[in-house]
Formats: sequence, C-alpha cells, structure tokens
Amino acid sequence: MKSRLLSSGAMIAIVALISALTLTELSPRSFAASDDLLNYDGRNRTVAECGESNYDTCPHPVCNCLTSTGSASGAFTGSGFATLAITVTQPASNECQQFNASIFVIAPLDLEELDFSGTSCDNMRTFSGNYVIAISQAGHSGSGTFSGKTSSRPLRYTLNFH
Amino acid sequence: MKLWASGIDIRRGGPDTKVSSRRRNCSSCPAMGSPLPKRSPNLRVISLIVVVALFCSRITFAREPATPAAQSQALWISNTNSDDSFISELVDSQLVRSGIPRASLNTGHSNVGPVGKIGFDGAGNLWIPFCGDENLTYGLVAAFSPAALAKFAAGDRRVKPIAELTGAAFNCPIALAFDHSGNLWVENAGFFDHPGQSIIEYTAASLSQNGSAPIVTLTSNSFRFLRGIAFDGAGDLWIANPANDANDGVLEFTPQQLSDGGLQTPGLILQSSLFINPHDIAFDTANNIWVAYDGGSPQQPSLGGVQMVAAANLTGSGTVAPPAAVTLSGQGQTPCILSVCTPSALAFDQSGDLWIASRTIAEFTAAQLTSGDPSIPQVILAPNFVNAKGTSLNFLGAGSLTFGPATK
Repeated sequence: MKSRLLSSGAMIAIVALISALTLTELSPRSFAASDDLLNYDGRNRTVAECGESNYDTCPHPVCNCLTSTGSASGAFTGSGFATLAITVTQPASNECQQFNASIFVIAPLDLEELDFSGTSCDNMRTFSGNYVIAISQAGHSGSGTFSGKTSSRPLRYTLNFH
Repeated sequence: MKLWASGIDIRRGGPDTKVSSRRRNCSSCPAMGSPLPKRSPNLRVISLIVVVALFCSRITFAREPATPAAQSQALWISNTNSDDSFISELVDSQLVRSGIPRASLNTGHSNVGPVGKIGFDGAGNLWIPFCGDENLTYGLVAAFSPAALAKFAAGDRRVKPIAELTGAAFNCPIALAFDHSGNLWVENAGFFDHPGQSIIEYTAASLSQNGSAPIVTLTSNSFRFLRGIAFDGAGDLWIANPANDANDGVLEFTPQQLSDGGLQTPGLILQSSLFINPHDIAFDTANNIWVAYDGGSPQQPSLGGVQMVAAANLTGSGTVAPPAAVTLSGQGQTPCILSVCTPSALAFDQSGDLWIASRTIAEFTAAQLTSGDPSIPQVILAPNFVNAKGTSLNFLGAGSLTFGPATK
C-alpha cells in the first residue's frame, strides 16, 4: 500500500511537471524569440548528393558540388536531422559564385525540402539569397531570404532561413 | 574470442532465465503512432491531459499485479558500413516520429566479420549470421536469448550465446530465415575468389543440440551474389540474386526442391524491366512480394526503389517479368532522400507498414501502400553519425531490418 501511495504521488508530480513544461512552451515569448524559419548547423559529411532534387542544378555549364549533414531546428519542423547539397559555379578571382541548392529536413514535426539559390562570396565563406519551401509533409508553404557562412577546422556550415 | 568488440563471449552459455518487462496498459492513452496533437493555448487541453494521465495511472496501478505485459516489438538492424558492422535496436517509441532515433542496444563492432540478415525464432531468440574471414575463421551463426539481449541492453556485457553453428559449411553466411516449421535456413554468400554459395538447413530440433549438422545443402548454377532471403506463405524460399546477367533477379525454390537439396534450377526467376540488382525481399500478409533493388539497366536508367509484384503473378516457371503493382522510388517530384534511395533492406511491422532502409530508414503505412500515391513516407529515421560513433550510433549502413521482441 505504501509503495502504491508513493507511485501515485510520483505520478501526480510528473503530471504537474508536464503541465508546467506545457505552460512554458505555450507562452508567446518562446515563439517571439526568433523570426527564423529554420536554422541549420552541419559539417561536410555526406548523406545528400548533388542533383538529389530537381532544383539542385548547375547555374552555369561547369559547377562544383558541396554537401553537408547536420542538424536543423525551426518552428515548422522541430529539431532534427538535415542534409544539404549545393551546386556552385567554379570560382573565379575576386568574384562571387552562383549556386542552386536544396536542404532536406527530417524532423518530428515535418519532412521538408527547401530549395534555395543565391551567391557565395569570399571564397565560399558567406552565402545569401532566397528560398522556397518546395516539399512539406505537413503542408507548410512559404518563401523568404537566407544567409549563412562556413567556418573551418572542422569545416562547418551555418545557415539561417528567415 | 569475443563476438563483439564490446564484449559478448563466443562460448556457449547456459539457458538464460526469462525476464518480464512491464508496460503500461491503458486503452485511453493516445495510441502509439497517432498524429501529434496540435498545440493550443487553451488551458482546457492541459486539464484534459491531467485527467487522462490520472485515469491512466489508476488503470495501470489496478492492472499491474494481475496482467502480464504485452511484448512490444522493436526494429532490429544489422549494420554493415565500410568501417563497422554491428546490430542495433530501436524500440517502438523511437519509431513513431521522424528525426534521429536513439538506439536502446548497440552491440559494438563485430569481431567475426560483417553481420548479415538476422532473424528471430518462435521463442524470441535472435539469430545472427557472421560472415567470418576467408583466411582466418569460418563463418558463424550465433543465437541470443531474449534475457541475454535484455541484459546486454541494460549494460551487462557478460552475456553468452545460447547456440552457435559454425564449421566448413559456413562460407560467409550473410542471411538466414526460419521456415514455417521452425527449421533454420542459412545462406552462404561465399567469397570473391572462393565462391561456394549454398543454402543449408538445420532442423528446429537440432538447433538446441551440440554438434548438430545441416541436413540439407542446396546449390544452384544460378547463384551469383546472394543477398536477402524470405519464405512465402506456401513455404517457397525466395532469394535475392544480384547477378548482372540473365540470372539477375529473385530466385524461387519450391518446398520439394528444398527437401531434396543438391544442385537445383530455380522454379522461378522473377525479373523486371525496371530493376537490376535486387538486394532484399519481403512478403506482405497477402503473399505479395516486395523487392528492394538498384537502379535500372544502362538501357533504361532509373533510380533504385521498391516494387511489389502481386501474388497472382508469381506463377509459372522459368523467367518471368510481370508488371509491378506498386513502385516506391525517389523518382519524380519527391527527392529520394525524402522517399527511397537505393534501398538495401525491407521489413513489415505488425501493422503491415513497410520499413525500407537506404541512407535513412523510411516507413510507408499499409494505407499508403494501397493508396497508389505513396510519395512521402509517414516517418523517416535518420542516422546520428555526425555527433556519434561506436556504440552510440543508432544505425549506419543498414543491411537488414527485422522486427522482433523489444529488450525494454
């Protein structure tokens, strides 16, 4: 009987904790903290391949392929796995490079493909351009701008879709 | 000798004691796999959660002493990537939503060569084929009891197999399957310069005996690079046989051929104009065959995928290429990373949902499979290799999928 009472008490405590966490998550502040649709953080290990999506094509006759795998988090998707492929024009001295790319997000709230394109400058250290939600299992749609950068040792991609 | 780098001993152990698992049993709780409720800022939702939780807890407390818990299923994965070969387990709570699941068991690196397609017998023992090493060790099939697996998942590495089969007949075993009588069939893939492909049978009764030997050895001139095997409802054995020649396809051997053994010509070779190099096969409850394959021929290039051929078309003899009733692939509008990419393994769960391993593991529900438009899976599971390694990996390079008893 004593253990049963303890178990009941523990269950009520757990329910109270869940309720508190739920109330915290429902507060407007948590959603107002950022206007980002999606934030990506990844390294140069491969899961996606260039040409994976119909959008990820070379904007000029000759391109290089960059891939990255890491994590993404966003209001539509929650936190999960993401992998991207970037098809970028070959570098020319002191010129920014054009690219087309897709990022694929595998997360608890949605499965998404975002197509994005733009320019990369400073020897592929910065990225900027526009994106569109191409595929959403949950039915989301939208478009906007993005910015990002790479940092080395180890090579790391950080992208923010606004 | 240790089977795994993390410590399972190869020596035969005594019978393990059974452990029972406790599980909540509440019909009012949200069903596993049901869609997540949408968030609402309405406090009534929270009140409802509290009421349901209290109700569930009362039911649980009332039933715990009297009702034995139902055995939950888990997805068991044999992983063979370029650097590592290990078995991992994903319990059902990790299978209900997309993302990066956490493995409840990871055996660590195999010390006896790559692991192959695993299977469970009727008692819930897990049977694992180890390829071995062409020059150093024979291949091996080892079995672990549910209790041993539970101990291992709980962190106790001192578990031993309840049976092991090895010897000269084990020429890189890479797949196994149990027939409807509980007899064990082991597929030997052979090595590149030492082919010797074969299928060998151990009777159910012999599996618990020391020094038992196979009673049937079946070979065929059609064998090339043997992969997944499965029995259909009629007791026919089907074998995925990537060959890059006229023997490429899925080979069928009838119960009579299996009983006779020796050198056999397949009763049927299933091919398709769209696929080459089949890797794995599975049968649904209607006895339709599902084939995971690489892309098409150079004349008809296509991405890999999964095709279903209806049971009614699996008749006749010789080579047949009936039309596929369902095709799942990354072709079209959905990229393969969000659908099916060059799949390597298949398994059906208890609900009839199909799970497909490639770079990820994707679940198509039974309803999706019959809807005619299964473009995006219900759930996709992703590997955690970016932030994990060794026994922290959830899966990587899945070579086979099997549903079996969960350790928790």
